[in-house]
This record gives sequence, structure tokens and C-alpha cells, in this order.
Amino acid sequence: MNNTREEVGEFTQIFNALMSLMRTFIFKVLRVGPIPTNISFIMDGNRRFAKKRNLEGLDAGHRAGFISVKYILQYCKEIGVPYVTLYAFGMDNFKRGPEEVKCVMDLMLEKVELTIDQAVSGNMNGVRIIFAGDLNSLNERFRAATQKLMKLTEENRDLIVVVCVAYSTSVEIVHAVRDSCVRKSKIGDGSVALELSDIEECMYTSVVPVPDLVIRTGGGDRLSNFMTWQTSKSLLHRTEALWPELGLWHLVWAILKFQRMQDYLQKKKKFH
Amino acid sequence: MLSLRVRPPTSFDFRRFNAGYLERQWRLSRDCFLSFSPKVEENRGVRFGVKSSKSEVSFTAAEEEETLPEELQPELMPKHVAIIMDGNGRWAKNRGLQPWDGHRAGVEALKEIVKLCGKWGIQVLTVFAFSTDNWIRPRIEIDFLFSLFERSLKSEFQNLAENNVRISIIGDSSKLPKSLLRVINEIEEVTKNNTRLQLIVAVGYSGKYDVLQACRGIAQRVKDGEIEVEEIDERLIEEELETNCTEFPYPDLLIRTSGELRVSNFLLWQLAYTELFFAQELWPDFGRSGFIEALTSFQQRQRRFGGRKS
Repeated sequence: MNNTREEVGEFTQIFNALMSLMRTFIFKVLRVGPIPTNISFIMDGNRRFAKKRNLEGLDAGHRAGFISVKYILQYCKEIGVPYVTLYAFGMDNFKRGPEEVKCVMDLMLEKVELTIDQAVSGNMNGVRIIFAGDLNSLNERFRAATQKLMKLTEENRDLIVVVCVAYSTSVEIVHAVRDSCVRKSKIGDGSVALELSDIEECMYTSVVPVPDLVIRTGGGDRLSNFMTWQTSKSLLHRTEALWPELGLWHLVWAILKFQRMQDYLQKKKKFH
Repeated sequence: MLSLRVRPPTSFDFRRFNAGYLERQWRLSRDCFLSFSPKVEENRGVRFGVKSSKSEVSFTAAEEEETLPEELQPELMPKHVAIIMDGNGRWAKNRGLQPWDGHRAGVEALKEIVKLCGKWGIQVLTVFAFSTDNWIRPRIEIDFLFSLFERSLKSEFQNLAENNVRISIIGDSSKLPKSLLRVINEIEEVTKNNTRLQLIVAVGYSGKYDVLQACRGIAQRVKDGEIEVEEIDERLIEEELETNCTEFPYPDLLIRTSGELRVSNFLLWQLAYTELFFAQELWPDFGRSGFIEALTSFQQRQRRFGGRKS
């Protein structure tokens, strides 16, 4: 996932190799301490980035954001984080102007189809992609593409990426309640005593463990209806950097912060 | 970064906690074990040397106007503020006191914040007093907490009723002692028509438990044939949650003290678009100045609720 299509010159190759070596050292140090099992990213700030850099086009900021996604996934894979969750598009983002929504959807479709080509040609590097959210509310073509990509990458285990599209916790819980009601009525026992496990099983993100660390870019300090159920015990980290500006050092800092909080977290866990 | 928000301690913070105060605290905690005599309680507010609401009973309109500080704009005040009152234990430990002294100092801090909310036009204040995760604390601390809660409710009863404050308690009340439940029911009944400020105290509360009990209620209604499965939507769940006792169930601002950066199972569904503010101070130290800082930060934020500001 880190190969670009254009020719890579000799100097660039040496530079890339040096950077890669430096990263290996940094990550080896990081791995001495605990690494989060699931890092979740709230990718905020794309449009502000485009405005800041005077980029043309409605989706320019989001394209820059996608490049950032690739880099961050690569770093997470090198560090050895098993699961990554990305908040790509929320149900409440449909409230934006129809032009912008269409633009973003088209961009996502384009990238998904690109990734499908990569998967078909065996270039996925062991990355598995899962789409979480109310996929039935997406258009037919997009939904088919997501199903295809999920199927193609099902066997990969090196890094599992959950992309949340048309997702919001309220929708997720409503859907989980509906599903568990239907399930319980099929079993047909007298009492309808829903348990926590029933609801959690029916959540869109039930296949992955809960996030340990939530990183929100763009300076906002809120959850925006993203996994408020699953992140009740996670560390919430925010940074003023916009999503396309998020780099290696921000990620390292967030993980160091997570490691610093571990003592307190372990103490809390011991009592449970 | 959050670390830049730490305010260096000023003399204002230390003024309240001089040596004489500590000695009084020590004597009081000794008294606490001997008896819960009414004499000790009456003097408690005075002995602390901290402003307690007993000394200032009524608010006048003129007082209200002048006490909103210049940094805050009245039209941008949040309607609903939620607070996770964390750090009592650590505060007590830092001063070499017992955890229950920390909780008592916490109650005084809460009284101050409730007063400020009433003055500054905040409609609802939700505080996280006791979580389902706190049940694993030592029995003696839990017993003390509940008796402290009961005593505070009894002593502030009159005051709250006079100041038009409505109290609601949310959470799993099945494990609470009966005497506390009686006081709670009484105070809820008496204050239910008050309109100035609604104080919601979450005791034995957990966000997940709240959503779960709402879902159980809905599942039961589906089973009884009252509603169809397809009719289950967000509004239905909202109506079944325990925060249906208020007109504004969604907090605009959540404050967590003591520097912890997590939500810890408080108000799950309702926190969807809440602005979060993490304060470094421990709860007993979080007074008016900390509150003003949180509100100023809130007023400077741009809230988009998923949409776009054009």
C-alpha cells in the first residue's frame, strides 16, 4: 500500500530506506511498552486543510486526507497495532450540502475500487478491510464494492482496518436493539430479558475489540456520535493538527501518552 | 495539546487550605467516627472556612447580573452541563487525609458549582456521584459516601427548595440503603415543580446500563405488541432513557476533573455531540475559576453537529 505509481528515483529510494530504518528504531523503542490493541481515528479537518493550502476542488481536502490514511495505516502496521478503526463518514454528515456529499461518496467509491484492484493483484500486504455502518443506506454501486472488498481481504490478518461509513452510535444502538428483539422473539422464551452481551453482539463493530485509544484531529474535543458505547473506557486524545497534517510524531506522542496512562488503567482493571 | 491547558497553581488555590484548616479537618474526621451528632453538623459549614450555601440563602436579581464574569457571554452559555467529579481520593491522599475527607471537600465544591449554575442561567447540571464501577471500593468508604449523601440532602433540602432547584436522581437505585432511598423520593417529590435549575445526580449509574434498560423496556413493548420492530428509532430510545426526566437530556459541555482523559461509562447516548473539557485540577480544587475556564473554552468552540458551517 505504500507504492506510488510514478517512478521512484535513486535518491528518493535511499531517502525512503533511511526513513524506514529510523522508523524501525523508533518503533522498537515504543514496543517495549504496551501498544494499544485498537486505535481509532476521528479524521477531522480535511476541508480546513484544503482552505489553508488553497487547494482547488470540493474534494481536495479529502484526497489529501486519503494520502494521510495510507501513511498512518503503514505506521500502525509497522508498530504492530493489530486493529485500526477509521471514522470516514457519519450518518450526520449526510446533513452537509448534497454536492459535497456526492463528491465525498464518489471519492470513497473511487478509492474502494482502487483498493479492490490492489487486492486482486495481490498487493494488500496482509491488510483486511471491514466496513461498519448502515451500509444499506449507501447507493447500490458503493455497497456492492464494499462487499466485494470485504470478501477479497477476508483472509488477511496482519492489520485489520475497520472503516466506519454511514455510521453513528445512535443508529448502531437502534439497529442492535431491533436485531436483538427479532432474535429474542425467534427463540420464543417467555421473558424478554436483554443482556449487555446481546446488544454488543449486534453492533456493527462487534468483530473487533473496543478501541484503547481514540485520536481526534482538527482540534475538536468531542466524540461526534462515534463509538460512544465502545470508547467509554478508552483514552481520548486530541490534537490541533488537521487530519492531512497528522504524521509519525503525532502518532508516537499519542502512543506514549497511552503508555503513560497504563499504570492507572491497570490499577482500575485489577479491581474488576 | 491538553498539557498546555494546565494552570499554574495560584495563591487563591492555597488560601483555603492552610494549617488551621487541616487541623480542623483532622478533628472533624475524628469526631466523625465518634458520633454523627447534630452539633457537629451544624457547625460544619462554619468550621470549614469555606463558603457554604448556608450563609448565602437568597439570590437577588441584581446579584445575578453582576456575578457573570466578563469573559463569559450570556447568549453562549450551555443549557446542560455534565460533570464527572473525579479526584477526591487523590486530593485527600495528597494532604495525608482519609478518602472520606476528600469526599466531604468534594461536596463543598459541588455546592459552590450548583450555586454558580443557578446564578449564571445554566438549566441542567448533571453530576456523576457514584458509578456502577465504584461498587468495588471498600465497604467502609461506600457506607460513608451514602451517609454523606443522605446528610447533605437533608441539610440542603430547605435551601434547594427555597432556591427553586429541582433534584432528580438517576441510576440503579436497587442497591442503595433504604433510608437514602426514602430521602431521595421525598426530595424529588417536593422539588419536582422547581424551575430555576435542575440538578441531576447520577448514583449507581452507568451509561451502558441506562441504554440497556431503555432497550429492555422497548423489547418488552415489542413483545406486548405495543410497537412494531420497525418502529424502533432514536426518539423512542431517548424517551426510555433515564434522562427523560429533563427537557434537555443532551449535555452541551462535559467537564472531567483530575486530568483523566476518558468518559468512564457516564452518559453514553447523550454524549453524542457534547463538548468535552478535561481539567487538570482535582475535584475539590475545581472551584469558580476552573468552572469559568471550562465555560470560556466551551464558548470559543465551533459546534457543527456533523454538518458544515458555511
